[in-house]
Amino acid sequence: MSMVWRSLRNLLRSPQRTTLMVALLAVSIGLALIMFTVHGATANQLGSIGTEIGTEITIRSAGSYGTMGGGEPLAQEDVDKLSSIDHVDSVQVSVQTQYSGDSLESAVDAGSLGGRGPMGGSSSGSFTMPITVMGFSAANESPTLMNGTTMEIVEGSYFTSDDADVMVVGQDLADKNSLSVGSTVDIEGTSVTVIGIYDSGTSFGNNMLIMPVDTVESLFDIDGVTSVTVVVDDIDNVDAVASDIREIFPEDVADVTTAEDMYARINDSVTNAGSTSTIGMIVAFSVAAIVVLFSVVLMMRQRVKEIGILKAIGASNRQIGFQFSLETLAVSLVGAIIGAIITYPLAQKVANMLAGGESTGMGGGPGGDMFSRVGGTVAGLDVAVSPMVFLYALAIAAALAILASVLPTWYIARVRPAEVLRNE
Amino acid sequence: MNSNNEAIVTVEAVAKHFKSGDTLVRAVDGVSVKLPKGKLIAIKGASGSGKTTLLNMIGALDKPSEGTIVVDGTRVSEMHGGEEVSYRRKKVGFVFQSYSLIPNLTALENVMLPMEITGVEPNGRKDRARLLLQRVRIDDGQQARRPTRLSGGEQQRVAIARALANDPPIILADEPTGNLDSKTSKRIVELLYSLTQEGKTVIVATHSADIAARADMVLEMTDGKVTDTSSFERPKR
Repeated sequence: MSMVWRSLRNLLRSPQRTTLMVALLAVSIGLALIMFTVHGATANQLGSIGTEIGTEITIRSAGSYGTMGGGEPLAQEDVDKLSSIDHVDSVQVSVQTQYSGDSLESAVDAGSLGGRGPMGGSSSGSFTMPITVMGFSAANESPTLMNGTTMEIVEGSYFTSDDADVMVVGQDLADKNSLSVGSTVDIEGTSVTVIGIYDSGTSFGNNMLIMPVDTVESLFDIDGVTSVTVVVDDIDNVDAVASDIREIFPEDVADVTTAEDMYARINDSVTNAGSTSTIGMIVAFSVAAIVVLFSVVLMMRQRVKEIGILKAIGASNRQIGFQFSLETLAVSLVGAIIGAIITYPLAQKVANMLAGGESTGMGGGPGGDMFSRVGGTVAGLDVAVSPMVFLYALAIAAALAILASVLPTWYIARVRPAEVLRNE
Repeated sequence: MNSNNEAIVTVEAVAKHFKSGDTLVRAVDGVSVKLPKGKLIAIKGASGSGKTTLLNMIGALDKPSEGTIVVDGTRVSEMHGGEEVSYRRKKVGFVFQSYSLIPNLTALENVMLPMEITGVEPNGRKDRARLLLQRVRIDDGQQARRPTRLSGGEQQRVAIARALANDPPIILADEPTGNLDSKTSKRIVELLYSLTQEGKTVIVATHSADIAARADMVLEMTDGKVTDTSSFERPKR
């Protein structure tokens, strides 16, 4: 009959009380673990938002949005000034237009959706989808396409800064027009050579022509660029850089969009989820601590005579305290393990509830990649419950047992056996 | 007190005061007495006379407000913490009126408990516990029962076996027959007396005339004071 065995048997003296204690602890520890897991996920998500989108500033011609809207191209000499602004890491320019000539046939059928906008306003039904042409600098080897996707070269190569009158063609468009690397196409009277074929994973993204900026400007007679993405060295400097950019590009010339507004909105949502989970975690842990402390007090008051007997037969305060601590630890451990198990099915649901499953509903257009990514960030607050949660559960159980052991130590030292045994 | 009646307990000018509201209660008031080794000593007195308090102070369950108590060469009245624990393990065994057995342990486990506390190895404590329980006539079937499934007399015998577990020289019994019928009481008294034949000193706080009649020494207490001390020479069995 060891002390451990005796402690475990003591828990069975009152199965209902023990069951109630375990249930309350399982719920509160489970909740604490869920909140802890959600808290970790939101922290990761915030880091991810900050890293991915927080430092980008998009400049678009005023009134334009991708190939839609109007406005004038941004002047190249103004664009050139951007690199000299303090804290600017890189400047990526792009120009977007549409090709509606006869040399290529769109890989996307207009379908019933194609006639919605002004571009497809024809009621005759003869409308064909234009092909989007995007111009990027050669340095931008993995540009984000208009619909927010990125491209992967599947044949040939991307252009270099020495290339002119070349293009990389979307796979669907290449298939539709039987193009391969080395093919030439007459675009606006110039023979343009296909040097690569890419896949973006979407039909819309694979229906584009990607060319050097200079080639697009030359072929389509565009003086300047339509979109610029400026990457700032630190999120804290975004405001200052945006302010400098607005001096170069006034409101009537360009729309300067920082990630900040979007970031703030997303940040608020995720931060709120994080804060709620932090508060929830503290409350849940406190409830667990109160449950344990209350139970220990109840247990000790009910067993004060036993403490007196143990003292009378020679048990030290430490031995008696250890026995009660073992009982508390056993209950806490069982509660913690059950709590950890319920974390698995519930953590993602709680995360969705706290984050509100919000989506920005934005995407596409120049700079749309930023919004697309942000939208996905909140909608996909991904809570991965790792097996480590069991270790955390054990840590919580141990912490509760240590916390609760303070009380027996204090209480036992004050029990006077002569008194409790006299009053029995 | 001659050499055969060598004192194992010496109580000198011991007092125990309690505060009850504004009143100072003198539970034990200037008691001086020497208790001989290997004898059955009865402390008699009405309720509130101070006999249990005196017993508790001898057993280091309570501290005197004044005076000194020396037990088997140990100054009990000046002990603290670990010394008290060690003293309770080695020098004294307690028997209480309402048996005070741990309810969720079997009779055997209750007797093993003091030995577990002192660190006796498991097989050793089990063997000794069985021996002690047989000594107090608790059979194997009764040994496996929990206290609630034993009669009052059986429980008290288990409590006596528990008090003997660590082989202390002194057994302190507080009203050991208080909850028992007269027939069972007599058996318990005989059992306690038999312990003195093995060299134990048994000090009993009691109302019982049976115990007083069997005792080698009787202290009469009234209002915290020893008002009479009688010693008897009994033939050895």
